[in-house]
Amino acid sequence: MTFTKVNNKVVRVDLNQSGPIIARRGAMLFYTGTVHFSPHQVPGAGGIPGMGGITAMAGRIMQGEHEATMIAQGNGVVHYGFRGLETHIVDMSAGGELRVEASRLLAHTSGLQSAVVQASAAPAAAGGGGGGLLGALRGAATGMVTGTGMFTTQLSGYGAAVLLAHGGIIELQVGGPAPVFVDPQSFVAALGPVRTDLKSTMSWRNAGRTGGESLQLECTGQGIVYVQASEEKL
Amino acid sequence: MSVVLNPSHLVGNDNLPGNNYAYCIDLQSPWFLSKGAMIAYYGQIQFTALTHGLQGQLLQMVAHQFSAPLYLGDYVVAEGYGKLILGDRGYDINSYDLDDGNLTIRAANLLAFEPGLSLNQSIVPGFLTLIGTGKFLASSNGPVIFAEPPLRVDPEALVGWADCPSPSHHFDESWVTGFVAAGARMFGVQSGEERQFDFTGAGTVLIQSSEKVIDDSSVVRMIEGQLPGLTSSGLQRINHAVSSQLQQQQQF
Repeated sequence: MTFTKVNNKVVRVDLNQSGPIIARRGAMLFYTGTVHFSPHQVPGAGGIPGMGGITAMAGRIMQGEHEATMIAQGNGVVHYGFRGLETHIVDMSAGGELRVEASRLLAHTSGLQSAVVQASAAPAAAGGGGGGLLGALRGAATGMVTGTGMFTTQLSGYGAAVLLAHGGIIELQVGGPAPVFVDPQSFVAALGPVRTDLKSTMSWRNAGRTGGESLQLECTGQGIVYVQASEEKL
Repeated sequence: MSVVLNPSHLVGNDNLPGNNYAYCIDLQSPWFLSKGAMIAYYGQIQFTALTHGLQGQLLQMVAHQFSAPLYLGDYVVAEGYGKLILGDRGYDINSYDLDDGNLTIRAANLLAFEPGLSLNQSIVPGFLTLIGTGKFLASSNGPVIFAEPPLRVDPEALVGWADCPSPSHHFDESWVTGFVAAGARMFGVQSGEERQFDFTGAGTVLIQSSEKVIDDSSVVRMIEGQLPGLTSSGLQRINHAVSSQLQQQQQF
């Protein structure tokens, strides 16, 4: 494994084995060896040449799908943790897609490509996808409920990533005979071609009498959904 | 599953059974206690502030063992007999024994200590040094990680250090070598990890998962205490630094 759990709240990574690591700013706890930290995706610098960097970054900030990140390079062992939140390592050495809110992503290997995608749409592999106006509306509704944007970060490729959660993380297998429903505020991430749709049991008849569980995310497809044991937003 | 506590069953000087977040002291002699750390007690225990109301022997003890004037208001003396239960923000609590040793710890993480230890204000702001022989209790966000120098630690993640790993500041600004990066730096882009504490030498460093600093009142008090001696240009510079820092915090 690239990342190793030290305890529930801290992971360690050996840069010699993993290569450069991209992590949330302020998440480095301590390190040994010669390691250099630099901002990842400085406007106009690194990655995309020319003006592409600026516009891409501005776009991400507008979508609310942005956390300042930095990249660690060099030789040594780095420990990561963030404000005492629980961490969970997702192994993607066999390749795959992970969709996670930027605020719930602690670190990932630099081999994973990150992109911003629409929150309610499924990855292309699942086929279909809630495009069009209806999809956008649904995305907006999801955003309002979960307190996050209409968009989410998608990591794809080969490597490993570390998730953040308030309270422990539970893995739910999606794709069995029974559908999986998740409270939008407990939803952390989805691995593989999983489609998440917001379902509402609320209507004019039962308005105000729904017990606060009227909105649920229905997860369909094949993969794993990560859920935290808390409804706290990050 | 859940056990109802009973003073005759409680094991003194240990964590509560199956609970890392609370600790029970079997109080026989006075202890120094962080204000607000007590969550419950059995028996006859008095809590006296250090700043006033102390008399006789206790006053002597405080005068001898407590040389951290900035923190006088943050600790009380617990005296009497009984079982004293402590908790702190849901953090893990551990007890440590010092045998004629020294350990420096973040003030916010020091919960209690025996008067056999003397408390001294560290020259690193916000930290306290314990010297002598005795037991003390410290809290940490998640289990404490022990590491040996040489290493560099994020200031927010540092709990403390024992013996003498001579801490110093380390500023990692090497990424500013490129032309564009230097420009970005001028516009206030920061890596966020450029300031670290560097430890070298023999000793042990104690680390936790980083915390959002809740209580920095002691550091604020120390800065305030030094303001009267400053020139007006110095004050203006501080004013400028404070306002730019405030602006940055509001951005995130």
